[in-house]
Formats: sequence, structure tokens, C-alpha cells
Amino acid sequence: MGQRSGELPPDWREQMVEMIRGAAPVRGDWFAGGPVCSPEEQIGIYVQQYRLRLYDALLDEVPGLAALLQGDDEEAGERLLRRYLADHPPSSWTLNRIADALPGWLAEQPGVGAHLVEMALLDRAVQEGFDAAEGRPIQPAELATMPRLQLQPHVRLLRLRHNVHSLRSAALSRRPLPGLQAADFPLVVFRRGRKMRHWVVPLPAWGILQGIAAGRGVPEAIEDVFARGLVDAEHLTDEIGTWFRDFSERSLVQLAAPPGEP
Amino acid sequence: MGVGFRVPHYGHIVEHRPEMDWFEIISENFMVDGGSPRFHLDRLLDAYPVVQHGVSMSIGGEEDVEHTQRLVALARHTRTPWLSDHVCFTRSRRVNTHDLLPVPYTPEVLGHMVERSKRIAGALPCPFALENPSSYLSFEASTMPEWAFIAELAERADIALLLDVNNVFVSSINHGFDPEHYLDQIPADRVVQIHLAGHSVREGYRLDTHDAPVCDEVWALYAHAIERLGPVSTLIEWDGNIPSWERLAEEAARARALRDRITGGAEPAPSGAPGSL
Repeated sequence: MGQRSGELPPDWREQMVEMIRGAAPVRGDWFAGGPVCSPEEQIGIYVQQYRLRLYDALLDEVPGLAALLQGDDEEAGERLLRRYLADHPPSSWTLNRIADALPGWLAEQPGVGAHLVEMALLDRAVQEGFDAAEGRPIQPAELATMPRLQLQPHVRLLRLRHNVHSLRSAALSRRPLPGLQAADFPLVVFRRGRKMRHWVVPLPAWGILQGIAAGRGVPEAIEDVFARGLVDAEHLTDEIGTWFRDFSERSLVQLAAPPGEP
Repeated sequence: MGVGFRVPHYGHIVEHRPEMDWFEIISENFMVDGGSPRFHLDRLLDAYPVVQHGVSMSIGGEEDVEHTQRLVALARHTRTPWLSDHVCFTRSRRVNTHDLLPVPYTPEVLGHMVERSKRIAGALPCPFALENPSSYLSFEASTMPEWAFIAELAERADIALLLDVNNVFVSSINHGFDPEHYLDQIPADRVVQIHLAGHSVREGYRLDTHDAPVCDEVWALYAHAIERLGPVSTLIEWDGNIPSWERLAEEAARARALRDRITGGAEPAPSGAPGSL
């Protein structure tokens, strides 16, 4: 233990936070100790609470990923997530954002399967949509004039290469996990009522939603999926009405704000 | 008399509207744009007064502008009669610990918190209160006791106080001071609300976990506080191992009975004023 310090450096907050998250050595000489704990034990309580709180909060934000990691090698999974927390400590006032950087970080880690990255992306999409805003639902009749549209704030588009959406549903309802399958799953994650849902859509329909999300008008978005060869003219004519009816019924789109408005 | 609005009770409260004077919400849980949190909050607001209590203002550190903007917007929405946070800091410039970290009780930190309290009080549409923290460490650098720091902070910033009696008890064990003396030094005219909660007994120290009934020592301190402060609005905090609604309401009823026995059933301050619930 060093000499007792009656004065703290100007950046004492920064240094104390670094101690608490284990990124700097504990300065026992900063703390007075008390009748029940030594100075080192006092700051140690905060170190322990930080570890518990943030790990639990991270698991809450990525329940699908947590289920996969715990099903494989739980200790290795915990080490992986604790490394993420060390590299990306939370900076926001809300713990809801604690996993924002996790998918990108996972993708850079050697030996981490692509399905784990996709599960983290799906977890983030669900959590972001859960408390996002809800715009006015569009009525089917309003679609007839091909108005400019935008996605509802709670809608996220994912193009998965594995069936992690099925694994996640099974894990969260405590059913046995299905086998991991590699395939193309164009997925829409959205909120209906107060519950988050996912919907595997035909690729051309997903492409149109992607175009709308990119700010294209409906005719341009349709033209784009046609030009990319995602659909032929006959199929497009047969299905387009059904797709937009589904978009409306699931409240995936809303009228775009006039130019200059958010 | 109020209780915290917590997820396991959302359905029961909005559907059955059980008897309760008011509810407290954790501000940050509702500083979102929509979905389930805002749905349930709006149902709650239809039936009860709602008081906001926050955990992320970090009044002992630097301001987070996004946090302030969302907090003020929510306060306008809920029309909370007062709004509180803690005497603590939660973050450095880069990292938010999401813990209520104690500050050294020095004139420099006091000056910083006075200025920040004045700014936030000026931005809010309602009175602002700060709560005494529970703490597990004390700084060598501190030059005054916590109660003196908080009393001077409230006077100089001209803000209200939320007196957490359980926190006083937890810290008194951890730091070895007389909790009744602490209560006696708090400026009575600034206390708008009292918190009561349970805590955990750990090896050698007490941890403020809000996961148990209020203990006998804290009930005794609450009686001491009410004798001095009068019929202050009181809230039961129960955030872990959350019991049934009936058990929670029973704890609130016990607090009300104790307060009424001491005050002769006097109600808190007139409607609309801080401390009026």
C-alpha cells in the first residue's frame, strides 16, 4: 500500500473508473478504509459490482447469442464476452446500447463462427426495435398512389446465411435447438403490438424493403430488384400486390416525411 | 405513499389499478421512443401521479447532453411533481460504469455539484432533488462528512433532497457513523421524499440491493426521521427478488401506518407542491 493521499489528481474520476473496470492498478492510498473494510476491499466492492452488473446487462441484450455460447463452452463464451466488455466498455447513459459494437467486434475475432456474428446482429435488431418509435400505420388504400415510403423505426432488415432466427426462437422459448443450417434467409425484424417478431420474406420483397430503407421511391425500388434479376416480370406482377399488402398489415412501412423533416 | 413501477407488476397495475397514492419510475427505463415501456407508462399516467427518479445523471461528473434532453422531455410528458437523482458520479469521459460511485467530500467537488445542480434545476420543468447515496468506500481526500456535504449542496444549489433512510443505515455500518446523527443534520425543510428499501448483509459490509423487506433497524430510523420531518412522501423500493403485488403493497401499508402513528395521520404538503404525494 502506498502513502495515504490527502489530495486527488484533477483526473481522479477517469482514474477511478479505470481502476473499477480493471484497466488500471487499484490505488488503495486514495481510500480511507473503515470499520469493516480495508481501502483495497472498499474499492474492490465496486470492482466486483462492475463485473457482475455489466456482464449480466450484456447477456440481457444478446439472449440468443448467450444461449448459443452457453450451449457450446460456457466458460469460453464468458471469456469472449468479457474481452468484448474490456475492449468496448459502455459509454452511453443507457445499458440498452452495451452490445452495439458486439457484432462488428465478434466478426474480427479469430475462430468465431459466422453464425455467432449473425445471432448477435439479430439480437441487436430485436433489442433496437423493442423500444423504437411507431409511426402512423399506412392503410392499404394509401398504397395505390405509390407514395414515397420509409420503414417504420422498429423495422430492421437482415440477410442471414444461417437459420439463427429459428435457433433464437427455440432458445428463448426453452425448446430444443434445431440444427444449424446454412441457407439464404432474407429476414424482416419488426414489432407488432408490443412484441418483436421476425418474418422470412421472399428475396424480391426483401429487396424492395431494402430499397425503401435506402430512400428510393417505390417504383425505383421495384425497378432495382427487377434489374438485379431478383424477380422476373411475371412473378413480379403476380406477387407485388401481396407483398405490399403484407407490408401494410405488418406495419413495416409508413409515409415518408416531407423533404426537410426528420 | 408510493412504490416503484416495476416490470413484474406492469400488467396488474394497468389492468386493475390497485390502490396506491403514486408510483415512482426509473427515468432512464422510459427515456425511449416507444414500445412496451412507453405503452405501460402512458397507462400508468392515466391513473396515478408518477414521480421520476434517475440513476444516470452523474451530477458529480460531466453532463451528458443527450441524457439531459431526453430527461427533460420525459419530465414534461409525465408532469412529475419533482425529479431526483443521486449524489454521485457514474462515468468518466469515456466509460459509463452504471454504478452510483461516491465522490470525495471536498469544497472543489461541492462547487462542481452545486453548479451542475443549478443548471439541471434550471432546465427541468419541476423541482430537482438529490438523494444521499449508499457507499462502500470513503476518500482520504474528504474534508467534511457526507451529511454536511449534502446539506451545503442543497442550500447553495437551492434544490430539494430525497432522503434514503436505508442508504443512511447501510453507509453507517460500512463507515461507522451514527445514523440518527446523520438524519438530524439533514435540512428538514428541503426533504421532499423518503426512500425505504431492503439490503443484503455481506461479509463484513452491507450492500444496497433493494431485494428484501425493510429491516427493523431501518424501520426504527424511518420513525426517527418522520418524528423530525413530519409526513413526508415515502416510497418503498424493491428491485430484486420482486415479490407479489400484495406483499409489496403490504410493505407500503406498514410504512403508512408507522408514519400515521407518528404524525396523527397528517397528509404530506398541499397538492401540487414538492413532497405533496
